[in-house]
Amino acid sequence: MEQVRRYNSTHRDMQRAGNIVVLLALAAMCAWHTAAQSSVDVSRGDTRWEAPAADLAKQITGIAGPGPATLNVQNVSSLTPDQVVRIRRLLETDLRTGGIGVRVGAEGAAIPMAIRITLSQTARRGVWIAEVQQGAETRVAMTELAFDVTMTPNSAPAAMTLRRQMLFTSPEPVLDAQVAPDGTLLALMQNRIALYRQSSGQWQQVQSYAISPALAPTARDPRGEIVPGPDSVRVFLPGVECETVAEREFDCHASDDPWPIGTQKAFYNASRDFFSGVLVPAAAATPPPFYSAAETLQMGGTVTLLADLHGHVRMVDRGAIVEVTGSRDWGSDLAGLRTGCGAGSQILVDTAGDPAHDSLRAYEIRGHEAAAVSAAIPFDGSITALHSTSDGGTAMAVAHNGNTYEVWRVSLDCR
Amino acid sequence: MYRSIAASGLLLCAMAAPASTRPQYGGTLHVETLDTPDALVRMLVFDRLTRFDANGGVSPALAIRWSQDNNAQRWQFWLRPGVHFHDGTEMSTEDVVRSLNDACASHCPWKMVRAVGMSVVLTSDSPLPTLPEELARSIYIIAHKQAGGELDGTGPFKTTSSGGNNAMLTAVNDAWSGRPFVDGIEIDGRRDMRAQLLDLSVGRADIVDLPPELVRQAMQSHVVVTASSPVDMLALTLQGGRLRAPEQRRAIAEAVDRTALWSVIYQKQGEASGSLLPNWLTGYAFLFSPLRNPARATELAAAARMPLTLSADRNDPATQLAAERIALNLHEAGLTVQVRPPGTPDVDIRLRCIHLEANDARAGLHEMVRELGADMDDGGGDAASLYRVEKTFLDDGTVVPLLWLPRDYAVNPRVRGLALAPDGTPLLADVSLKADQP
Amino acid sequence: MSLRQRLLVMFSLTVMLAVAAVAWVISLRVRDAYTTQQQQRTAALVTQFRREFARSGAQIGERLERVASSEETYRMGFDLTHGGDPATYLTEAAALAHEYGLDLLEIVGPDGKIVSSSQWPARYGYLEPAATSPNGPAFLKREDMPDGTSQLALISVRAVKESDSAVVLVGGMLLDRSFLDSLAIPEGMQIYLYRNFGAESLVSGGDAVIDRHALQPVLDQARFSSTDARAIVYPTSKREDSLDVTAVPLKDRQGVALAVLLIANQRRDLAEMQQHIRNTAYSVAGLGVLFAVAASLWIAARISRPVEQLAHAVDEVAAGNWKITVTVGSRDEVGRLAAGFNHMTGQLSEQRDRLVQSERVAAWRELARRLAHELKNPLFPLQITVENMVRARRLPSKEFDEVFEESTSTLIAELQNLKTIIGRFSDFSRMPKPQLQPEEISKALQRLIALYAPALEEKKIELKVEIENASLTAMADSELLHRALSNLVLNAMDAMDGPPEKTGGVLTISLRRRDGMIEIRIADSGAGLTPEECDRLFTPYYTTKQHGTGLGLAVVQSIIADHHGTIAVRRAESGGAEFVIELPGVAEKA
Repeated sequence: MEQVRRYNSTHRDMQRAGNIVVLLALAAMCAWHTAAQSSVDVSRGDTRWEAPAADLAKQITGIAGPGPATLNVQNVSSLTPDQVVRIRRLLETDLRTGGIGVRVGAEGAAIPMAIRITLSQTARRGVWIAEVQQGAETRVAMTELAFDVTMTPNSAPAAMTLRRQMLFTSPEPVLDAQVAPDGTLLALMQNRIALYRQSSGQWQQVQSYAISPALAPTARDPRGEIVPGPDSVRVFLPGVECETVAEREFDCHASDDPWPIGTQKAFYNASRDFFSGVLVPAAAATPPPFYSAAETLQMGGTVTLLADLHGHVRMVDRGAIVEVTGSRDWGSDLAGLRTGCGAGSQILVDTAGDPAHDSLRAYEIRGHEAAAVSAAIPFDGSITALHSTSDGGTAMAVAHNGNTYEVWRVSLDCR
Repeated sequence: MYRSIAASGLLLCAMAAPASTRPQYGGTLHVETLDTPDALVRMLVFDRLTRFDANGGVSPALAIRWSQDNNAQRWQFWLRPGVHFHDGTEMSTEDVVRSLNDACASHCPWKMVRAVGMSVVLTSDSPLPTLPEELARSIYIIAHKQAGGELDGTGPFKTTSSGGNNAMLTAVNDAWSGRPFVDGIEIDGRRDMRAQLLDLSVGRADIVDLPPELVRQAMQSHVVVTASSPVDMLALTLQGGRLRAPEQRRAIAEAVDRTALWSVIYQKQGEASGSLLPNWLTGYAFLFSPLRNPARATELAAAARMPLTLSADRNDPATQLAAERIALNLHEAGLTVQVRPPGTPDVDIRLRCIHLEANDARAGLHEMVRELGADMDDGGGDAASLYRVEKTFLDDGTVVPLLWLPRDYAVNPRVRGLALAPDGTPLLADVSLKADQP
Repeated sequence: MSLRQRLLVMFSLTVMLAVAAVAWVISLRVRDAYTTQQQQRTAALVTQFRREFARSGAQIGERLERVASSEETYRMGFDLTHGGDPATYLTEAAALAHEYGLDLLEIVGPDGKIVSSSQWPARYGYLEPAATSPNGPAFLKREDMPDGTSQLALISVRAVKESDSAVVLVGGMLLDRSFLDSLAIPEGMQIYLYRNFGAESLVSGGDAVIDRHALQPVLDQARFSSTDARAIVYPTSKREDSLDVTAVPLKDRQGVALAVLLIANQRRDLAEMQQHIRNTAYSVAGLGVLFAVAASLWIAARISRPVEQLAHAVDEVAAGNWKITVTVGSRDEVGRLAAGFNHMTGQLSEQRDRLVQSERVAAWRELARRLAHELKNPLFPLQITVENMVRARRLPSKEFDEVFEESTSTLIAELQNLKTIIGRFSDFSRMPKPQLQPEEISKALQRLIALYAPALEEKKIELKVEIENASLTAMADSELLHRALSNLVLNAMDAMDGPPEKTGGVLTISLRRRDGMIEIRIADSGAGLTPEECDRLFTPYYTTKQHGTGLGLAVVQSIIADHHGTIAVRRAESGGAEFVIELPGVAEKA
């Protein structure tokens, strides 16, 4: 039985390895294509944002004069997080040219000048607004952009393709995996946090932090979440919360604090392995208990999709909870993507069906209706975890294949 | 009320039927409104020289093109040829000149209108940079006075019968803008909200008004809701002689809890805003903070404590509740405010609901400032200039914007293709009805 | 006051006081009985109110229990406890209050803030201090309303029946007119509820209306002392409108008197009863007075009539009728008094007759003396002259002629003097009756002054005239009056006539109106008169002059008397004599 199992296992591994080779080749090609496209897009975007960024920086310099300042960039437009980062860099460069040095972290604590830039938009154009605070006085500068400079959602959905890249496999359940800002890959297991570093194109475990058995969860369907931040990493497990206290050192303690789900938080029922439905901040109407949630942009605002315990997908829209049509074949794992493709925001969903052959597919939400925008990408085994990465551009999926847990990075290609 | 909504939702769900892919002609659309049908009839029966489009600009309507010179002090609009009024009379430049003069009488933004060939020329002593947007507003209808004194228009519908709170419109087959899908529209005005929802649930109404405060409940009850961008500004105008002290006006502005009004009374519809224009139009509305400062309000109010009166312009329950809530907020700050019945003249504080038609920040600011009885120079019309103008206007403290609310409609599932104009008016000429199931 | 009147008053007072005393005692007894009955009725109504109050509180609690136990409230409680959006339930309280028949209902969230309020929907989000100690008994609460008024409410607090839900319902009913109307108020009683906060107000049960200010003292006593108070209140000036008011303070959970229950008993019955007693007393007293009149008349007939006759006789005697007598009808003290009176009047009459007779003899003697004196004066020169003429017969013819001439002249002069004396006496006896007609006295004086001005100037007498600048008219005979006034002026001139070194003086003539009389004063600055001279000056034949007849001023007095006036003489301020004549003035015509 053991042999059979091993044989079968080997055979499947071989088969899967063949598949992986093919897929990796395809993925490599697509990745190159995507990267190339991305670089083109980025360079084009940077070029287009140069003028408004320079204009705004010039206005700020005119208002405030040279000197150190803190800079806070806030995005209330349909720009993606990547784009916001690039715009911030442009602004920092332009401000520095004008004599304003941007300080961050503890450096900025005692700086008397604070610049807050809001990337906003109207129905026709982008508006970047700078609020320069010096003492009690706040002065305002703003610049406008032609609408096509920002990532205007296209009403006509473009054909999109899901791409996946396997990062590593683990014999033990991987509840979540995220890449920290320093390039370390953090993997959350049921009772430890493992740190991986890339070596020769492979992710190698370099360290592991054990979670006390007294704290470690004993759920049948264990779930967890890694939330990388700029200064620290927070890890949520049922009834446990961990936070980095020093480099690669975690402090774990019992906690029933709500888990982050996008811009909101949700209370997790540790004994039943689902979210209770209580959101923070509270929604106008309390949703039913749900397994997973994802946020997507719609009509300039953010709506939250919830996969409930009974296979229904509901949407919290302007305080009301409505059912999402076209979600009949959705599974229980959702993740939001902010890609700049199509409407600018998609939902990655696993498929309810054969647990041995799960798949992921991207959808866009139009009104209360879900529309598939990509073909399904198949996985061997079932998807046990699906989380957006911290920048929202990709998602991490864990597929339970036999005795192995495969950790995949999934991205969406506009072409 | 909520139970009516729930009933409507259940019945409408039961009525839902598979959709066809192409719009079909025919049928009568039943529309019910809380207000009189006049505004809707006006939009359907009459046209204007220009119209607001969905992209934030103005499109040709009865004028096919226009130009300006002399620093926007002279505008020339060339009229669309071959347009006929419903009685068959061909539209002339004289009709346009007369209509424009009648529209605003002595308060026109221009100084003179005259016909030049197939065009009309509007001149002014001061620049009119947003004149095409201004002419797209509903007041500047082009009409032809019939022998009986009744006005006739060029719109896609003509009035078959009209009396009191009801109007029956018939599609104009040879309308210059194209024949509407439906054959007619029956408008039942001043209809009680409960009755509207009941009519919607039993199929007697296709489109009904839905006040913002009921939208959430309606959506939870699976009623199909179509909402506009925020287009109605709820604001306080402070005009009484007892509010001459700027401290008192500032105290009022600081005391009102906009967030509570928005989140509770208006059930999180629209946006709480201290701005004269909604954020979707300017992008900078958040600079006018909607947050209250009770301590500062109390401090300012201590300078002048006189009993004040407040009255809302509208008589609907939400506005009345908002007026009472505002009075409570002001009372908290130490101001004594007595809420008078809706429409009471000569009160110190008026709670007004001002509708915005423009779909552009510059035109919108002109429209709102004019609506509030002032005039302005927009200083070039760029966002920064508009912000400065708006800030200067609001710093005076005689107008305290509170909320921007959308216009919402509950729609029968048999209605297809319902879109809203930028100001929230339903574009009923583009609506079609699903064919009855065999 | 006559004896008869005094008797009448005495009898009447005695009767009235007796009746009043009886009426007062009866009235007092009636009032005490009535008050006791009213207190019993008030106590019964207070008990009824408290019972109704408790019943309503229990009813509110029971209704709130039903609300708190309902499925919809349970769901709401669960939702709100688990972070649900309170805004969803903004209108829930109004719907529940309507459904469960509550005047007031507030849903208070776990944070103690109002989620929904039926009575003041705009108060959402505000703290509700009353939402503590749920499930306790009902209590009184001041409830602020959106229109700025405050109402009195009976409130109960219940927690929503959902596990450990912190959602609380605060509901109740208004204690207003309808609550008072639900009480069975006996005839003649009124009930009011006074709200001791905000714009203080009085709510009445039924159609009762009262001016709050009339109740203020008893209200103040009850609300400030927080104990029951009782007083008689007079809403109007009419006694029958008075009320016996009992004030019962109603307190909130903190023991503060939020309201005062006022139970008023009408005192109309008592007032009417007392009025009836008074009326009866008046009737009895009236009969008593009639009896007193009859008794006093009878007693007067026996006692006071002879006394009155005596008094009347005395008045007659005083008026000069000395012949009056009274009838002596009894032998008692009054009869003896009457006999004595008759004797006294008889004596007086006899003495007067004797006095008149002796005065008449004296007058004739005086007249004879005066006449002899007057005639003797001219007779003596006549005798001397005749004797001279006899002696002159012996003288030569020429000298005799001279003596004769001189003597005859003297004789003629003296005879003329005698004739004058006789003429005066004749004039005095033949004074004519004055012909009175309206006469401007000032004109008469002007005429007088014009006549004597030269003579006065010649005698260096200064004339001062003080005539009031008004028309002063009297009924007078102008000639007689002129004669009288001339006489006075001549007398004055005589008084100021003397040796050349003493000639001159001041004659003052004044005319003025005084108390309806016209007063003429003629004063000189001569030697003046002694008081004795003043007394006798107007007596006929009395004179202070060497050659006067003593008839001048008598004539003057006679004339003035004929004009219904008076004349008096006194010492003037200047030291001389001053004659003051007062004549009745004729009323001025408007």
